[in-house]
Amino acid sequence: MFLGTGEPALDTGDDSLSAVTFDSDVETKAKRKAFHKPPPTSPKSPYLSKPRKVASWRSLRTAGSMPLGGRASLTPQKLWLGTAKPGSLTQALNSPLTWEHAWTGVPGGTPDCLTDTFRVKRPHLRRSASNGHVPGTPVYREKEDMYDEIIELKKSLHVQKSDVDLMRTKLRRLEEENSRKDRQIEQLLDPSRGTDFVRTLAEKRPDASWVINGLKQRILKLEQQCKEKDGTISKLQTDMKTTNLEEMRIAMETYYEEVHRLQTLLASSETTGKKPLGEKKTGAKRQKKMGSALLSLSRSVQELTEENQSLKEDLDRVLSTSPTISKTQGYVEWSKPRLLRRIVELEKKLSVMESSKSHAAEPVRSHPPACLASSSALHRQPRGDRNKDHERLRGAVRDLKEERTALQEQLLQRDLEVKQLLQAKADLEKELECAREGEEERREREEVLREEIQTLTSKLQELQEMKKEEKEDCPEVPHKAQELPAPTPSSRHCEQDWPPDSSEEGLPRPRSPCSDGRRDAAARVLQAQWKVYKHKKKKAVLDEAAVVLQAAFRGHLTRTKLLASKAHGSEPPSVPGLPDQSSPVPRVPSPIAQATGSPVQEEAIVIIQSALRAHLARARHSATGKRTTTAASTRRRSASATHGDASSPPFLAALPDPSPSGPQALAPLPGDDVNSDDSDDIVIAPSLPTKNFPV
Amino acid sequence: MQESQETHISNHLDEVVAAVSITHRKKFQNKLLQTALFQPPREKLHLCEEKAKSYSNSHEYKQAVHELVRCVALTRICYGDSHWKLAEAHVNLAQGYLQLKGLSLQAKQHAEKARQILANSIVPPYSENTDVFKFSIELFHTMGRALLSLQKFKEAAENLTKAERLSKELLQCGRIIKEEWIEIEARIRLSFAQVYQGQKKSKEALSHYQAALEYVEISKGETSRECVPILRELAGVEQALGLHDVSINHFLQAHLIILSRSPSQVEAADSAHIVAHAAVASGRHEHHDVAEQYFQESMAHLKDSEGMGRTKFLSIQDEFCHFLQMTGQKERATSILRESLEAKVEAFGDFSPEVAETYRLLGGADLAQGNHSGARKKLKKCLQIQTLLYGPQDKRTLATQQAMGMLSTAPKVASKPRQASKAKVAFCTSIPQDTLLGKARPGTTAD
Repeated sequence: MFLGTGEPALDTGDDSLSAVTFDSDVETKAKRKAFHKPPPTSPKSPYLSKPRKVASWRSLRTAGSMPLGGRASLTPQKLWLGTAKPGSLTQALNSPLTWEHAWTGVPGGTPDCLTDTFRVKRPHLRRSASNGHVPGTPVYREKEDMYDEIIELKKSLHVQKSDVDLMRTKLRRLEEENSRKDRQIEQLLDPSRGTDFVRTLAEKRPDASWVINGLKQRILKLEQQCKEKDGTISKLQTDMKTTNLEEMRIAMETYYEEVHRLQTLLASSETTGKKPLGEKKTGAKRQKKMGSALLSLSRSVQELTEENQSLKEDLDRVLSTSPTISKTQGYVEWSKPRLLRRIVELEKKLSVMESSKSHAAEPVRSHPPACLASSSALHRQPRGDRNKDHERLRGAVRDLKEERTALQEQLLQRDLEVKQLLQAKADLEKELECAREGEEERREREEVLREEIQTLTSKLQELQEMKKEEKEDCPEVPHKAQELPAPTPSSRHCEQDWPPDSSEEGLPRPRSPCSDGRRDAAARVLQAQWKVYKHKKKKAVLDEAAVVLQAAFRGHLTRTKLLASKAHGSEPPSVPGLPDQSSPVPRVPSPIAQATGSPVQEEAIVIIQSALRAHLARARHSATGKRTTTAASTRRRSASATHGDASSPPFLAALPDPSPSGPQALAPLPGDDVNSDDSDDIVIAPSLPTKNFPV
Repeated sequence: MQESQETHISNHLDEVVAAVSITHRKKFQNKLLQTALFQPPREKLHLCEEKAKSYSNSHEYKQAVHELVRCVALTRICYGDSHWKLAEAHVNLAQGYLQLKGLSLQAKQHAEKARQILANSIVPPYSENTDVFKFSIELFHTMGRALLSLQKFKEAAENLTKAERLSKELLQCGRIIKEEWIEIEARIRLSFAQVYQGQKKSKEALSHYQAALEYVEISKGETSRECVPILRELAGVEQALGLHDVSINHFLQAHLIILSRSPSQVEAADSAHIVAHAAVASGRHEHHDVAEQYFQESMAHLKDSEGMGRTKFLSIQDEFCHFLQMTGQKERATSILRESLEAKVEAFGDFSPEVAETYRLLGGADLAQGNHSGARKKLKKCLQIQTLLYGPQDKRTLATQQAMGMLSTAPKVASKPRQASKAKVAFCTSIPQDTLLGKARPGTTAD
């Protein structure tokens, strides 16, 4: 309504403006008619031009405002005014054109006349307004009508507002009535409940349940909205366009990484390429100097690399020859001259390394001018190379020194081994001396055996003489020949058969008259006895040899054991070696051997005891004590073959031998006793080796 | 001449200095530079492939797809646009999309790209590269699976047939060994079976499932985990054909395999639930014991769980209650439902279909027992929830309104026994319909 009231006000303003223009136009027309007669002047023309512009401007304003006013207004009065105004506008536009033509047609007038005409125009306008011409009356009417309309519209608005308020109040009343009725219905529908309970429900229910249900419903709606949005999101994610965009983005990132990598490579290559360009820009002299410096640097670098390689190879060789378990054994096996040669080689290597140090020093001298000429980067790198070379050489020197110490230790070990070998030689010499003593003992035994042979030959001669006598008396030759070969296989049988032979000899003496038979028989008997004698001799020699060998072997075993124990004990300390060297006397090792070989000695003692007991038993059967002395001597010889004491028993044994031969020659019956003594000696000899073998 | 010599010397010097430098710092810097500048795309491609495999093994399929996309880009950089390696990369990406369900269109798109690249790139001599043929088998198989997901069964069958034929030819030529062929054939047969199942051709599907199961047992062993999905799908087909005994046996076999692998509580519960569901679906009296046993086992596994396990537990409990009602154990079902009502409100919210259904069932039970006020309360609550959820014009809401209307007339009818019996009959008739609906719902959830 306010807007509506505003519009008519604007329209009234426009109408007044249009009325003013209309009046001015009318006045101008009147003036034109009056002034046709007087002529205008040229200097007055600027005054006339200005009012023309103002008029055109005003007419434009009115034309712009009229259509808006027409649209807004709906009353027939407004429509009439609208139709009237454009006509007046057209007339006003036409009138100035005609006026201009009039002025241009007139040749001109005095300025005083124009000023007078201008003064005259103003009172005319005032007079026409006060007179109340016909065009003025409709403007006045329009204004009044508009004001009336505004007032009426305002009144209607107030009335409608009051109606709206009334309707609102009615609605509220109706809503309250509805809620009351609902409550009554609920109460009526619950007849089972008590009145008090119903009242309490009526009081509480609407607020609590209503609020809670409302909130729950909101929650439900919100949840549904969330589900729908989640669904849309998932659809968008699974959409083809989305996945295609994602794939393109990933591919673009990958390609960008590759491009970036290539660009960095180009940048790095360009930076390397820029250096020579910078060098080119410098003067010719500088270029030459740089070239020479670069050449020298490259050469020095090559030399350094070669030296490094050679040093590495040397280190590898040295490390390969470093002291390890197998190599220590190798060095142990090596002789002194080899070790000395190795030391010389290592010293030569050290000298070579020192010479390489001097070579390393040379590039240091050449570097200062290169450093001055070359860039800082190049300057730094060679310094690092020099330091590296020095460090390497120092490491090599340290390694070589360590090898020296290791080799020296090896030399000491070799010396110790040499000493051990010398000791072994001394031991072997001792063994040789013992063997020689053994040989002397053998010679003595041979002499004893020769004496026995002489005695036996003498006995044979006697027997031959007796046989000749018997042959002359006895003729039965074939019987004797048949009987004699039977006892030949064993000496015991021969000894046993001697008495029956003698008895038989007595019997055939009166029977056999032939001498030839007797001679044949005697020859056969002699041959058989000789063969038996030889066999006995061989057996005795073999037994003695076996005994000697056994004794020597046992001694050797004990000595080897001693050497082994000495070797073990002598390795960590060097002190035990000295007493071995200082004590070549054989007595000293003998107690050691006895101590180490105690079980062997015990066994020997047992054997000696058993032999002695047997001998004693035999001596009791035999009457003579000389037999016992001979047996004891033989036993002593066998028991103490390795000792020096063995030399004395054979002499003692030789002495009693001629004494028993004397009584034999004196009486024939003591001859049998002599035979029994020989049998005892023979029996003892073979028993010893049988006992010795298990030992 | 001097300039060229100088440049040559400088290059040589740089090389020598680089070769001689042995400082640790320089080595480290060189390594960094090398990794940044000198690592060619082939090495990056190899790394991406390894990452993709590790992600797929750990079931992080989105990241696996991301790496596979990078593999495609890097392969393109390395080999160009018309190399079979690029086609292979696309096939791998398609397989990755298939693992992410719902992206079958993308899988199909990439498979088609691979086929185009392969068609353009293969040139004589054809027989020199076995990898191309193996990859072609994968291409056709992947295309078949993608089309299967998009419900285009005819085209899927065509592609799978091509894959099968190609694998047989390779086996005959000696390019692949028997064990490898069996593995490929197992996967193709499984896909074929799924196609026939989608086309509702259960008999053909059954034979293919059996063949697939046989091949997997040959290649992986009878107690391997790969047998489980095949056994379950096979059992599903047998159910459709009415072979309930065999079906339940296969479900049990799958369940035993799962149990032998020491699964999590949720896995064990799911497996037991599947067996129970199958036993209920058979509709035979002799399977009721099996159903109850495995329902109890399933609920026992989930009894102490929270979150998703709790909601799953309540769903299985609802299904069990439906089962009890069908078998005539209504009192037991009612007591379980009463106990579970508060838990359901907490788990599903006040306005949820599960809560509404429970109120409706409890209201029916009260009505059957003669507790009219209780029934009225519960049905009113059910009506409120259904009105909010389904709207006032939904058939479910209207059914509940009718029930309440009948209930409101109950006091008048109580005086006459005939009309009362009619009202009871009406409620009884309404219950079976709901039970049928109940049957349909777990089926959809299972699918």
